[in-house]
Amino acid sequence: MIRLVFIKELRAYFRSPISFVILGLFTLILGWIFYYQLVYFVDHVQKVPVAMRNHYDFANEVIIKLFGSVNYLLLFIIPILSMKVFSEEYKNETINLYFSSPISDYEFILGKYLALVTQGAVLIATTLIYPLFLGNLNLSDVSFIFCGYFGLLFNLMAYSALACLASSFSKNQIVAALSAFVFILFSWMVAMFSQMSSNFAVSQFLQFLSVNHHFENFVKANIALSDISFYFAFIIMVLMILKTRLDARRWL
Amino acid sequence: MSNTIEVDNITKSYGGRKVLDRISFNVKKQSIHGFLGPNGAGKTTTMKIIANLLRPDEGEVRIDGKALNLADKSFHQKIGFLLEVPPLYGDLKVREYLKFIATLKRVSSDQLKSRIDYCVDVLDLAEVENRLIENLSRGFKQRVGIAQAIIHMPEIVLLDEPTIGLDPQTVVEIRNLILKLKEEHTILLSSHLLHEMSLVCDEVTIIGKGKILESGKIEKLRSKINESTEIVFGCFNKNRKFEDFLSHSDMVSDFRCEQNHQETVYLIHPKQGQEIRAELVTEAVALGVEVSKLEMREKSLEDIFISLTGRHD
Repeated sequence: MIRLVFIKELRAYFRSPISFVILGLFTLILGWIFYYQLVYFVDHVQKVPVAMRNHYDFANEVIIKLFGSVNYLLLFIIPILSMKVFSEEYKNETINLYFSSPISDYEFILGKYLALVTQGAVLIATTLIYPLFLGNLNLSDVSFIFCGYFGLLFNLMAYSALACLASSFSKNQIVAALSAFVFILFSWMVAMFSQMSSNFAVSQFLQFLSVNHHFENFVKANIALSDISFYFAFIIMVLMILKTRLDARRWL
Repeated sequence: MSNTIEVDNITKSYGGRKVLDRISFNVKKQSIHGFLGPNGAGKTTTMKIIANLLRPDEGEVRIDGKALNLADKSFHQKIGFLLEVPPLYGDLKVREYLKFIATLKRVSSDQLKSRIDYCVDVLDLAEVENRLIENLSRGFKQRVGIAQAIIHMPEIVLLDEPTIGLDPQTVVEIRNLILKLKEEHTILLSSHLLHEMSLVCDEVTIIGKGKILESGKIEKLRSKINESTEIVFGCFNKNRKFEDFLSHSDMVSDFRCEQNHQETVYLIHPKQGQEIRAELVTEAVALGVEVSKLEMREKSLEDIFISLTGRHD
């Protein structure tokens, strides 16, 4: 049943011209960012003496910044991709098809959620062209690229869960998209709140709750089990809230 | 005939406002049961509760004697429904959509094609089966909506205002479809169009302001209103003996006399709305009454509906 919902959602996404507009804009913006970061890096390196060029790390200056840019774009793109996920089902009353079928709420949620993650993953996959393009630079360590992509994937999964939840709050797609943006932004801002706290324990706790704090660990290829556990716990918790949210509509 | 649906003392409130107030009625197996009421009377809420989409605050609904339970998904195999807005995906073609719904409702793969073909055939969807749903006319969308309700061969089909907003020709077509469905399903049909109900339903339940006003056969409902049937009996001469006959007859509930120019008109209410014109004429002629007019006036369901709900809607 997860597969049924998943395929239906993906088919609907790729039949929509909006998906190609989003894909085009995403690759255009990212291509422009990558190009300027590359040009800036080459320009900068050429201006410094040869002996000092070792201080300029290509990975730090270009690739890691690229991951940051993708992460930043996801903040805007995931709400657009997700705004229809549940809100349109409520608006068109198609949600009742699922509520009146022998499909469990979790199957329904997972089908939709995984389809959204796949849509985001397709976007992220288009960025693989940049590391491939740089393959002939003979980077000594490519593990950070893998880690960075894993980080992006985990962030995408966390944002998608939040965006699905936001989409279940309103029949209005614009409201759903704005809610998703606020939810994702809040998951970033927890780290800022941690810096405001004078209490060390509270500060550390808030930092741990920030999605971007764990993302940074991935990008720095400094992954701990706690980072992976955080993402899984975060996603499961948000999807459970979503399940409760769907249930609540029936019990009103 | 046994009851397929038993609605027993259902109460439902939204934000402190009572939408349904201890409503009870039964729907007999393989019948078309009309659920009548003005807008906002609680029809859709009742339909949603019977469809197992909403939980009542009090009371219960029994399907074949077994109480409905939100957690028990097995009930969904027994019920198909079309609520006011057909639950359609505009980006799917009709056949794709029906296949999706059939799979969702766990129609076995060996029956999938035959079930889709059956729906396409019964609902005359062949000419649009490969068209996107968003491009269909309202009438065809409604048909697709009915198709999704019956694709898994449910015992019960709930149709909430299926003819609303359709042109007269499509209304007739949908009405005929509903009659066709009766052969294999028990149908609960909600509407505020009384004429429609009188044409297709075996029984009717009337709801108003969250309360059941009447429930039973359409004919029985009519006879429940004393003045539902009225015989207009005109004659040229007022006859005391004929009036005595009317006063003492077992067939007559009551009557009144109106003098109209040269004509005397008796407005007679027969008991239980029965047809007594032949007996009246026989007696009148025997008593020497010169009959000038004889007609039966029947209250329309609209009149009954308004008199029961106490409002024009």
